Amino acid sequence: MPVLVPLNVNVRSLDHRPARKSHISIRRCQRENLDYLRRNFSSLSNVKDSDDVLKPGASDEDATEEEILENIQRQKEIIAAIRKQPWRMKKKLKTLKVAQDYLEKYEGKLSKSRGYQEATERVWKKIRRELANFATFFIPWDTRIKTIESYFGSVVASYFIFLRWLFWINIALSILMLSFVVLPELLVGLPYGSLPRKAVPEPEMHRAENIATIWDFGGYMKFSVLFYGYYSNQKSIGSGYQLPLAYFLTGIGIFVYSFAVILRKMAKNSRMAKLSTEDDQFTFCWKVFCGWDYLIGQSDTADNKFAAISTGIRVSMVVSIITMVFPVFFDLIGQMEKYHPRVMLQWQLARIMVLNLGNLYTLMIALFKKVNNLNASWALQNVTASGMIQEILQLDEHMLETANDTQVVDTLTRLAGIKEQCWETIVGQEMYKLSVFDMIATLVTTIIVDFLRGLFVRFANYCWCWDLEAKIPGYGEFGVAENVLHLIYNQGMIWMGAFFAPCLPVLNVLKLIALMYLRSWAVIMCNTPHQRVFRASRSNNFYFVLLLIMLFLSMLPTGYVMVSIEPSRNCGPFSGRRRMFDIIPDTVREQFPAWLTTVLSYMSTAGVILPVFMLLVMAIYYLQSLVRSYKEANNDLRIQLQYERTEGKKKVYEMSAAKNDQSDGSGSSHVRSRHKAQVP
Amino acid sequence: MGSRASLLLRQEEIEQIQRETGFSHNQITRLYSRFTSLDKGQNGALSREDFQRIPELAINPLGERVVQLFFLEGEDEQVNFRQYMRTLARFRPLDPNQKNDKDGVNSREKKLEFAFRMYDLDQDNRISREELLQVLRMMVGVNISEEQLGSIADRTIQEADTDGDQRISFEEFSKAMERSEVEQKMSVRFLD
Repeated sequence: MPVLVPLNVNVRSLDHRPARKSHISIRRCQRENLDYLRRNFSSLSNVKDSDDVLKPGASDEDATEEEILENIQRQKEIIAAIRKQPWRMKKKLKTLKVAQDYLEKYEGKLSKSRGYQEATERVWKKIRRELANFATFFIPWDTRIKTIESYFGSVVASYFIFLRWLFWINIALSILMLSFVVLPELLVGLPYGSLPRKAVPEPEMHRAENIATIWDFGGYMKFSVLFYGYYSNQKSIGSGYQLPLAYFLTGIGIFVYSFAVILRKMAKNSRMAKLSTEDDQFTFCWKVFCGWDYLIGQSDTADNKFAAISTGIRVSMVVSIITMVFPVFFDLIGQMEKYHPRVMLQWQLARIMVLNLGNLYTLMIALFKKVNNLNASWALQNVTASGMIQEILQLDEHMLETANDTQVVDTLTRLAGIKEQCWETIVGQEMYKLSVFDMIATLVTTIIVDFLRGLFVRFANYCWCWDLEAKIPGYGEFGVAENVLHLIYNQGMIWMGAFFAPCLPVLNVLKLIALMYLRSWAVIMCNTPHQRVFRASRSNNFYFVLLLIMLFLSMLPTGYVMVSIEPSRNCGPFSGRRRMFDIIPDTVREQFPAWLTTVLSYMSTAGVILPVFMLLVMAIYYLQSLVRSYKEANNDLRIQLQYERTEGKKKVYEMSAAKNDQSDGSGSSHVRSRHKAQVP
Repeated sequence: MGSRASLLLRQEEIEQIQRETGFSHNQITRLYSRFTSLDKGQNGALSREDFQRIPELAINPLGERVVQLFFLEGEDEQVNFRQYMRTLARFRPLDPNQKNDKDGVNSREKKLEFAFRMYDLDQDNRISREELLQVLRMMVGVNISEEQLGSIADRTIQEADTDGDQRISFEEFSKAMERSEVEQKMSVRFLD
């Protein structure tokens, strides 16, 4: 216990009255300190028995250990502070010796590991807290989203939070693609120009650097890591990295990862939703009594919080005023006004979703038609090509002996000047173009619809017949439905195109960043909060369900391509195979022991797949019935709780009414009038 | 952080406070150093101006109410360290084995009582409609009109009131706050 008192500070009693100031002389201080030390720590022989050293009342082993630890701390503090005291050397040395003796005696008593344990725990906790504080610095756009939330409510802010979450997913996808596919090809693969598939062909060279070509993602961009066609089908590059296998597995990995992440988020959301009960019992009490965030220390955050509280109260009010004002049509209108906006929103979302999907699928179908046409024309060209090849063969036999098939075809086609088509690259190009155009369209629409409208309403208001701001056209409101669906549609595009254009997720990351800044600027600058406010649904799973549907639907085209369509013969990592999927059985056959191949081929027969399928169906059915029974039980309990509450209230009302009747004129009414007089 | 302030405390007083409030020795010394840093006049007691200098309280619309609760304990317009600690004792985190203990100075009931007193302006153990209106006015200012504030107050009382006297008593308040995590939210977390 540090009782060393610096000489220039007056010792205060803790219960003092402010009027008096008391001084204690220097000598008395020193005497007290030394007395204390001597009293408590000098007689080492009876240290074990006396209670003076340790905290009073501590006799338990555990409690004693705590106390001992604290005492040890204090002794260390004393030792540190002795140096600063203006005492004689002899006194200082004596005090020091006493403290050190104590430490020696008691630090040895406690197990060393316990002491280390405590120390490391403390340090570890501190490190963890520092890291956590530091990590919050890295959450992007946090201030932005909080500002929007406090002015527009949590529904609008949920759009931005969803955008940020998608941003992280896209970064993860980009890292996947980059590290397993793009970088190996860049670093260890054959460089530009070494193969026909990697070089801009002669006929296209002259317009390779035109703006029109760049806009089309053609020219040098077409023959780069950006597209499927650039990757060679060499079994392994560099020192044994199997690029085609990696490409295939990464393509599948993207979908698996996205699935996993979305499902995990949905599970977390529904767990939180289940925990918070559905009852609307004390909403107003909570808003009034627990509204303020006592940790706010900045004045502009306080302003935001102020605005948020007002918005929140207004929301609850609208919901409840409607239900209060129309008692006759209570149920009907209450239902309508409480759920209608949300149901309306969901219908709107579903409709837009169907439209967007139709869009995307039409694109896919058109692309497939084009691919078929290409294959047909290639077949035609094949016939002419084979005729030309016959001629060339007669010219140069030597070449045939030294090259393999693909190389021969490559060289010959180059000689013959036949254009080779790489339909996967074309698909990739379409995806890129779609993404870029979508971004430009968003930019233009936002500027025209929101910004110019806002400018018009603001400035033309001065010289217009009617109040532009209050009536038509007014300021725009942030359309959460359309924007969320736009995001989901965008993501679906990326999933569809990632297999054919490995760098598409990277482009999407940049696009999402731009979108975040654009939208947050637009919403604050040009939008007003919703006139009709409604409570956001408690579980935010709706967006994720839509995203999941989109993921599933985007997976289908890629899956179909992987297992059915023949890859281009002259480009891409799967050229020369019958189907892209064939790389898996080939790899298993070549690189794994023979028994694995037999096992896998058994597993893919109907004898195994059907029972597994049946098992899965039964498991799903069982879990589904479990869920249903839990929901019913939950419902029953809630109804019971409600019943008890209302019955209880009625009973108490009756009791107090009876009590009031009895004590009429005195008691409660008297108290009430006195109370009224006091409150200003 | 400990050495400067702890130099002014006496062992017996620390032990007394420890017995009264349940804070540990380290925590008391930390709180004492906070106390002295707030005490700009260096006279061993805090005045209202000292409290209002804290930024989080200054911008808090209910800041005055919080400060007022410190001054309930003692007379005149000063809060010495003992009274300071007595008020802060409410915010000590619950011990793990203290779940059902109703008597502790930092029990859930005492914490709720602290919150209740913030809203009960005239200390008559009831929150009336006028008091609610005042609190609401402090919280939302002029953003919402008077009639709307009035209906919010009515609605709040209607939700919580069970004995029909149109005021919220402490028991009704506790019932309304049943589901809130008062023990966690109204606790000071010490960084040790």
